[in-house]
Amino acid sequence: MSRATQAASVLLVEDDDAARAAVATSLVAHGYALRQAADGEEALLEWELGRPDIVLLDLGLPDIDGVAVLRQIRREAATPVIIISARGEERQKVAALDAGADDYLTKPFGMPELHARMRAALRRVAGGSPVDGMIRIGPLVMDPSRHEVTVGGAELRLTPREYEVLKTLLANAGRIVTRGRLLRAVWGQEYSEEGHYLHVYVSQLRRKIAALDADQQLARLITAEAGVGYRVLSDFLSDS
Amino acid sequence: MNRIGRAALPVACLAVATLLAWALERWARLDDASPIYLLAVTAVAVACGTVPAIATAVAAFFVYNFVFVEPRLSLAVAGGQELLTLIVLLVVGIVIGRLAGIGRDRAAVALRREREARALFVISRSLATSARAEATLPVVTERVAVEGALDRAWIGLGSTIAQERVVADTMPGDELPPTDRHAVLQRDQHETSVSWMRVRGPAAAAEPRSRRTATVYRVAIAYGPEAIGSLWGVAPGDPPLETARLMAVTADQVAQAIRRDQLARLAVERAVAERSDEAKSALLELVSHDLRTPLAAIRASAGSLADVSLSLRGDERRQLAVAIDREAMRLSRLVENLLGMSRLQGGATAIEIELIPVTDAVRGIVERLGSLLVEHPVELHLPEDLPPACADATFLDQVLINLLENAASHTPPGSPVRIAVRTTDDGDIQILVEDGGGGVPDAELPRIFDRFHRVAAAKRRSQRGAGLGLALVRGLTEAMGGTVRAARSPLGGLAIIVRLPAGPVPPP
Repeated sequence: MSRATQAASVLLVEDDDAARAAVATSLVAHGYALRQAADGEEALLEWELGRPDIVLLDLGLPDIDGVAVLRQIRREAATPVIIISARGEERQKVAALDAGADDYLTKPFGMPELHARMRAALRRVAGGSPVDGMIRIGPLVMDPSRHEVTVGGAELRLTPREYEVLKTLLANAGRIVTRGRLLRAVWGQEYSEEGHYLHVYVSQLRRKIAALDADQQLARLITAEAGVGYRVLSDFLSDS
Repeated sequence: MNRIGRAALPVACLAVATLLAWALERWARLDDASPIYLLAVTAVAVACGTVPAIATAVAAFFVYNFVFVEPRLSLAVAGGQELLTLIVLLVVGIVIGRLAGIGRDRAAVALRREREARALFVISRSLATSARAEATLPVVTERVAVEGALDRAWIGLGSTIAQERVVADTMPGDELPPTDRHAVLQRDQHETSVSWMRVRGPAAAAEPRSRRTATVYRVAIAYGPEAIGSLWGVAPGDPPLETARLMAVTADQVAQAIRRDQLARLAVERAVAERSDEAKSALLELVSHDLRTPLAAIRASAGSLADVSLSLRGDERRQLAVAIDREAMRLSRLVENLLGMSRLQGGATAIEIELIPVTDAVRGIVERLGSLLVEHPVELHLPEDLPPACADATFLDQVLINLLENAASHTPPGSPVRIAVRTTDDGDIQILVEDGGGGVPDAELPRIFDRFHRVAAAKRRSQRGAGLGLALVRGLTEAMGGTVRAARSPLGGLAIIVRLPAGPVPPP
C-alpha cells in the first residue's frame, strides 16, 4: 500500500447491490475513503458532493447511460475513471474509452486486478508531467523535442510511424489507448488503408525495444487489449 | 471436306486413272486397263460417299469409252468385247461406289452416335457425382452447346418461363435473347418422334417477322407433372434429330438431379431438426455437469469460510479463497464460451479481420493464462520473421485460450504443452498446440470439434467439457477463413493444427 493511495477517495457506481457490497468491502479494507452510488443520478450527485480522486463506473446503469455519466465528469475534471463492463457491452466500452475513460475491467474480475488498475490510474495522475519534457519508463527515455528514444542509453532507431505509435502510447501511459484513437493520432483521420497494419507496427516496435533491453525489463511495456487497443504499463516495474 | 474438295477429288481421281490406264496400254501393252477406273471409284466412295462415287462411275464409263474404246476419241463402240468391258466397268463401279458409300455413311453415323453417347455420359456423370446439381449445370450447358453445335445454351430454373432464374449459361454476362418467341421440343412418350413447335408470346405476335435473327429452342425440364425449368439453345435453324435427342435426354437428367437434390435437402433438414433436439439435451447435460462441478466447489469453500464453528488458520482461509477464485474463473470461461458459441451461431458477432502477428498474440495469451499452465512445462516455438496472419484479434485470442486450456486441463500435471507457429509450404500461418497427455483415439479425432462432443474416456474420468471449447475453436477459426484439424502429437497426446491465411508484410 503506497502512501499516495492511502487517503484516496473513490466513488463506486454499480447498480447490483451484491456486486457493489463485495467491491466496497475490499476497497474499505484497502483504506480507500468510499462513496457509493446505485444509479447515474446518484453517481453525479456523489461526484458533485465529494469530488473523489477516482471513479469506478459500471456501464449498465438503470437510469442514465454510463457513458453519459463519464462525459459529465470529463467536462469538469480529468479524474481517473475505470469502466466496469459486462460481456456484450464491448461497443459501449470502447465508446467510454474514446470518451476519456482511463481503463476498463470486464466482469467478472478479481480484486487484485482491480487494485492494480486503480493504483496505476492514481499514480498516473500523481506523477504529472516531468519538468524537462522527457518521458521516462524504466530504462526507456523519450525526448520528444529531439525525436529521440533511448533504451539503457542506447539509441532506439524507429521509423516515423513506430515513433508516433510509441509517443502516443507513452503520452497516455497507464491508460488504454483505443485502436481508433491510436490510428487517428498516428495516421490522421485517413487511416483506413494502413489501419490494418497497426498490430504489425506495434510488434516491430516491441521487437526493437526488446533487442536493446538486455534484462528484458521492458518485455511487458506494451500490452494488447484484444479488440480494444493498447496500453503502456507505467507502473509495471513496481507491480511485477 | 468442303464443296470444292468434294468436286475436285473425283475429277483428280479420274485424271490419274486415265493417265495410268494410258501408260499401261502404251508400255505394258495391256489390251484392257479399265479396272484401274474401279480404283478411282473406290477411292471417291470412301472419301466422299455414295452419290459422288456413282457419279464417278458414270463419268469413268464415258471417259473410258471416249479415250480407250475403238474408235478412239468418240463415244461410238465398235466391238462386242469392248461393249462388255464398258458395261462391266459401269455396273461394278456403281456397286462398289454404293457399298463403300454405305460403309462410310455408317461410320459417320457411328461416330455421331459415339459423340452423342460420350456427351450424354459426361453430362449424366457430372450430374450424378456432384453433391449439388446446380453446381454442375455450367458443365452441362457447355457440353450441350458443343456437342449439339448450338450457338449458345443456358438453363433457367422456375415453374414458369417468366419466373425462370438463369443458373448456367455458356455466354454469361451477355444479354439473353428474347424468349417470347421460341420453338419448344415436342416429344412422345418413347422419344420415337420429336419435332419443334413454334410458340409466340403476346409481345412477339405484334412485332414484325423480319426482326428475328437467331432462333431460340426450348426443352422443358420437368419431373412428372412438376415443371422445374427449361434448357434453352440458340441455333441458326432447327437443330437436327441428334441435337434434339441430346437436349431432351439432358433435360431429363437435369430434372432428376434437381429432384434428387430437393429430396436430399429435405432429408438433411429433418436430420438437423432431430439433431438440434439432441444438441439441446447435450447442452443441458453439459451445463448440469460443467456448471455444477465448480459451483459445488465454490459453495463448499464459501460455506467453510462462513462457518464460525470452524477455527480456520490464516493459510487455510487463503486456500479456500484461492479455490473459490479458481473455480469462479473456470465458470467464467465456460460462460464466455457458451456466449461466444451462441453469438457465433446466431451470426451476431461482428468480425474484423486485421493483420495480426500471431507470435505476439501467443505470447500475450501464455502470459495471461499463467496460473492455468503452471503445472505444465510450456515449450514455445515462435520464430520472429513470420508474416502476420489475417485474423480477428478477439477471435484469435479466444481460439488460443481454448486450445491452451484444453491442453492444460485434459492432461495430467507435469505433461508438456508445446506451441509452435510457422508458415506452411503454401504460405499459410499454422499454429500447432500439442500436449503430452493421453491423447484421443484415432477414430474420435475428426469428431472432437463437434459441439458437446466429449471423448468417452474423459467422460468416465469426469473431466470438464472439451466439447464446447474445441467446437468454438473451429467456429471462430472458420469464421476467420481458416481451418482446424486434430492429429496425434509426437509428444504422445493431442495435436490441434489451426491454419490461418497469411497477410502482406506492411511497408516500413
